[in-house]
Amino acid sequence: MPRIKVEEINRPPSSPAPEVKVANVAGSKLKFSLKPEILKKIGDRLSSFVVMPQEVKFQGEDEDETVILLLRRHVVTNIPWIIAAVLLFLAPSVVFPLLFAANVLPALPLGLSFVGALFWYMASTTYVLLNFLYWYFNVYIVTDERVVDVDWYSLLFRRVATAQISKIQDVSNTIGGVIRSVFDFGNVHIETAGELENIEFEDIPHPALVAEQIQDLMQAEEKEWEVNP
Amino acid sequence: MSLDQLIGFTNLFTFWAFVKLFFLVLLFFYFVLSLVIARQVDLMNQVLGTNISPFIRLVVIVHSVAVAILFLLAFALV
Repeated sequence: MPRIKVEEINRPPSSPAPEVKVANVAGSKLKFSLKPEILKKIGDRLSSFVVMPQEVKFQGEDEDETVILLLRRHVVTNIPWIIAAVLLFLAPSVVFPLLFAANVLPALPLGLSFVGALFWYMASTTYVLLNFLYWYFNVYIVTDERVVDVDWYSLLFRRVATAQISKIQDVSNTIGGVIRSVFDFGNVHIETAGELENIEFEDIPHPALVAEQIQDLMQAEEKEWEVNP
Repeated sequence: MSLDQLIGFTNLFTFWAFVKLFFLVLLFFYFVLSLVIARQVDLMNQVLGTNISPFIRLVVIVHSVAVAILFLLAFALV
């Protein structure tokens, strides 16, 4: 089976149009091609839209499998918890003077006030850490072989769903609402054959581009199947 | 010290002992939570490994240590 190999990826920070070259191995045909619009969207490692990430490994990945897209929820979706975190960190500077004015704080033992304040800031830090981790580890991966949906719902519950490209029947995308339209993010619904579970990429950037790229991969898979059933 | 003062003092002592106990139990569960976060991050790093995975692991370990120190501080100061 012909396999493609990523030959070179240059991502100079100052370069507006990153250069990505894919090359075939031993003169075989390319298995997939990246859409030019996607190549312009290459993000850094903490981005919510990373094209051809080089240092990403996921559980169950084949050695000859190439990760094409690593997607997370759009950064804008983090704004509510960031605002809440800022309020949490600022709250003591508002509440403490009020408690002093009400003569409540001086009545408390110094140790309790100190540990209580430390606890508040630690708990706020934990809130930030957890929200960042949920965002960072809830990823959607598109490879040349499959799509993977890694969901981390809570501390004790996570779910990993995969679907082979050859098992995908239909791909559609949805963008609804003002904020989603302005920032170009939405859902991609991936319908799989038979009893397999459908996969939903939620709130990802550029859903139309992602859907088109998956459709291209489906066509490439079909061609490969025709040549080498 | 009158009897009323003694009772008031005893009640106050019981109250602060209760507050300390409450804080210690709260911080103990908080410490357990931080360990669960560290364990879960380990598991997630196995599911998705990136080049900043070691850094994230370090952050959650530092977080657990900080919570442990807070627990000890509460034990000593409250």
